[in-house]
Amino acid sequence: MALTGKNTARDLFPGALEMMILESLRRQPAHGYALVQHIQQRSNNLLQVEEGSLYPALQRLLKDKLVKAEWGISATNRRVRTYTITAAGLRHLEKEISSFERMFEGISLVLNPGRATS
Amino acid sequence: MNWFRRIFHREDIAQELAEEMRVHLEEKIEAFEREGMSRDEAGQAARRAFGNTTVIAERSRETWQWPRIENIWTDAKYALRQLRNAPAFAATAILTLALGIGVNTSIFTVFQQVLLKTMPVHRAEELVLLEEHSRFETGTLNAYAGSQKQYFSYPAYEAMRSNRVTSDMAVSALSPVVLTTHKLTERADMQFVSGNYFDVLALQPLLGRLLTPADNRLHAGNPVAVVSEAYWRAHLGADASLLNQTILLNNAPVTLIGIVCHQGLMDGRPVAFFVPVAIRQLISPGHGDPMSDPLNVWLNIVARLAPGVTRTQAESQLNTLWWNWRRDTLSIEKDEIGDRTGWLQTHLSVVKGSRGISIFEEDFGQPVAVLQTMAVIVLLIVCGNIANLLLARAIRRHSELAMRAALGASRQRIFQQVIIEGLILGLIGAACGLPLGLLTLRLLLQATPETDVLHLALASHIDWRIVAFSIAAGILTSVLFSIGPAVLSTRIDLQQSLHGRSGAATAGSSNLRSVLVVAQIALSLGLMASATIFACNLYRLRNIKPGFATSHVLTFFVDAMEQGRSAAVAKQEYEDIVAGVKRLPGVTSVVYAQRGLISGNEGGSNVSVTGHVNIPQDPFPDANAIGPGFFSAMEVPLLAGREFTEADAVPDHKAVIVDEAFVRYFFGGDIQRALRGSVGFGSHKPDIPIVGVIPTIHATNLAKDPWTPFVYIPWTVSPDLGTHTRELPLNFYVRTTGDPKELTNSVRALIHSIDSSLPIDEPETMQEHIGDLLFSQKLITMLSAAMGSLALLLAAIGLYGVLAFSVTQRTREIGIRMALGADRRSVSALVCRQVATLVAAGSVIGSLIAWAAVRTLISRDKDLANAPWWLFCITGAVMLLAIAVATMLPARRAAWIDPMKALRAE
Repeated sequence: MALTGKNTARDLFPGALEMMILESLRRQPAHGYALVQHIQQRSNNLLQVEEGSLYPALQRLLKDKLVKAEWGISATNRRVRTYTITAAGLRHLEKEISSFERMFEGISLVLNPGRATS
Repeated sequence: MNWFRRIFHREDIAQELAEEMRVHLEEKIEAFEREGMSRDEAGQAARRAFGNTTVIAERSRETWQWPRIENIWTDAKYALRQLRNAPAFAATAILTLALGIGVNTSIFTVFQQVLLKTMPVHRAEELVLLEEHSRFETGTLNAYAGSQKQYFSYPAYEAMRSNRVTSDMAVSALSPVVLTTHKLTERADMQFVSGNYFDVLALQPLLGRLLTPADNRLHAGNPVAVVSEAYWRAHLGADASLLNQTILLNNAPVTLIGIVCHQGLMDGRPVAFFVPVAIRQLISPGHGDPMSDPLNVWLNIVARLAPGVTRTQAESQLNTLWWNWRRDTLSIEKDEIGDRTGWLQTHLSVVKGSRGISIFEEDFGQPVAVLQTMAVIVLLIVCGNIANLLLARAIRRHSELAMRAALGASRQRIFQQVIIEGLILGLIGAACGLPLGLLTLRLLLQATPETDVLHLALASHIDWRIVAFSIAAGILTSVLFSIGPAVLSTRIDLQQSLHGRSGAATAGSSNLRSVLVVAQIALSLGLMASATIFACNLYRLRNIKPGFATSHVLTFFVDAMEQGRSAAVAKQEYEDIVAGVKRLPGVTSVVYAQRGLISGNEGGSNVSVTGHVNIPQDPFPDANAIGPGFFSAMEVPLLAGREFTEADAVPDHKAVIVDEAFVRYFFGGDIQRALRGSVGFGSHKPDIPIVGVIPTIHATNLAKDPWTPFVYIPWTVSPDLGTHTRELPLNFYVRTTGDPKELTNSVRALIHSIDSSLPIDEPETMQEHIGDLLFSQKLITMLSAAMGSLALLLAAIGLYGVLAFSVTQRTREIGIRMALGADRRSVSALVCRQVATLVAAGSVIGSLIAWAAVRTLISRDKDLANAPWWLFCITGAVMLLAIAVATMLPARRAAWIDPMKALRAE
């Protein structure tokens, strides 16, 4: 996954993609293609998920039992594999978000020492 | 999902994933179509955006794998399939590798025995040996094995034993012994040890108990002995009832109290019995006073360092004790010690004892290291050959590799695959090479005379180190030979490869192949030059004239004193043997000497000589006691004077014969003056007249030039004791008219009839004796020559491979040339030109390597001399011949290419 934009493409930190996948799945179970679309829209096209990162990440989540997958029929009437977040996934997501927020807060403080409020 | 499902449902996961991704791609294509692209454009754009599906699938699957291992397993299966499909290639590669690894395994077995092996005891690294370096020594020395510097007297041991740097210190000394039980009488090796010897080595009894300090007393009632497990099993039938029974050692009764495993300890010799040093006089009497004479040097000292003490720390404290002892001894023995300053200029070294007393290192360390180096070089040449084969294969499989790359295999994956193929070859090679090497070793062992110390080195058992070595050799070589081909395999230009012929990779590989051939030629030239040196040395040794008769001589050794007979009985038996053998048919004369000729045993003492003022640098002349008529029977010409007669063979008769080296040193070469001179042994006045002078002969050693002055005394007067009369073991020399070998049985029968309990070693002819002596040289020469030839053969095969392949590759080019009018000769010349450059480069580099190798060899080993230049020329010519043969075949094939077929084939 990368930030889009001509010269500003940069990789996100490890675990970011997983966090966003879990967050998307918490709102609504989805299959791979829908996940890409969803993340792209929610980020106002700032984030572009590459399939090359998505599928390995999904397999990792499956292996760690944070999501589960079932074959079903999609809105476009295709046989797709739909991913749902599990209870363990929810717990993991909470933890990740809170640790991310702390990290983000920390980075903000360093970058903008005067304006830190929260 | 548990691991079980993970392994067995791998296929499901892969299929589900593939399906999922296919659907994803379809949706993406539709999305692009919605944006207004045509179906084809959308497909291409979607695939481009999606990326390499193979890689994505692979990376996704990896989540479920023990990632790499599974890839490796797949690659290994694939590699095995590939090898099965190319049996000729596989067989060649494995055979070459097996040869290379086999040679290395067998030599490494000896190498580790001679240079690496540590003793199998608890914390062997704590063990140390003592070694002394002094300007001046005097007294008697009985050294059995290893360096003479590692021998001490019992009082010296006692003086150093109480210290704070070693947890304990023990002594040991080897000695031959004759064992008598109610079942058998036989000769064996015995070790005199201090009571704490087994504690220092931390050994436990297998049965019974081991010696304790309390056993180390002469008058402690019943003397005791411990038997080694190996001897107990092989010679005593593993009979546990022998425990606490009395056996006879040199006819002295001792009680067996325990059994110990002593395999490979101290000097590695298979010792049968261990007895306390204190009972030495009981078992082996008449060696002066071994327990309280400070100048009677006969014991090795082994100590265990106290915890946390380093060798340097131990050395500094022990040196103080050692120096104090030397100073105290000086005041007691001031008459015996000639050079007092020299006596006190002394240093004690504490050397590593974890390997025991090395009996091989001094004599064989150097040659074995050289052989190991040669073996490694052979292995490198093997690597070159296999790398060449693999390169040729990589080019032939170019389209296959290109196809894999096109289907999405990453470079890393292709690289890994080629390396794994190499590894599999290497491991199969090691698996074949290990038994091959051990078989070679077994054959060498069978060819080695049991009297040769090399027998011990070769008889080492296979252990995990040898197996680990050959596996490591297999892995290392495979990495070495497949790295080049692997790198080349990843440099595939997909565009070119898929469209047409192999291009870029071929060019790179042909350079690499040429470099390999040049290196192989150069290395094999170096090996052959080294082998030449060894062969030349063997030839020189074979042609050394020892200075006495070697044909028609049978020799055997008898020690009647070992059995504890009285001197009178022993003397009578010796006389009976001489008289009896003389009566045998075909015997012209029988003579005897105390020390065997060229037996390597030497001994002597300092002498005083009339008209010579002693200085500390005076050599200690060697001495030997001989019977009447010795020199005439052995065909040693007298330069002046007379030789010993029956009249000299009486106790206290004063007469000596000296050799030319003696006259040269003590009389400035003036033989007539020597004949008027006298000699005194030790600190005695020169009062023994010189009655004869003989030329210098190779009396103790064949290989080394005899330079030590030599004194012969009539037998019955011991040289080391000067005035004491003592019967000694004798070496008999029987001159025959016919083949001396035929007398063997009658000699043995005769001795048996004189005294059935006399142990006698197999009589041997003098030529056999010398042959056995040269055995180790012969072995080294043979091995180095074998490796030189193997290297040459491999280099020739390598060259042949390169040429044959290049002819195949250039078939079209040659076809065109011929179609344009080139004749067969110019086509052959094309091939030969290619060789000429390689061979010229190889020879130049090889000559440099050979020169360096020869220089190193002869500078390291003073017994090796340079070979004459023309011998090297012959070596070079042999190499060129082999190269010519290797060139001729492909050159002929090139010449007979049919241009029509060649052009049509494209």
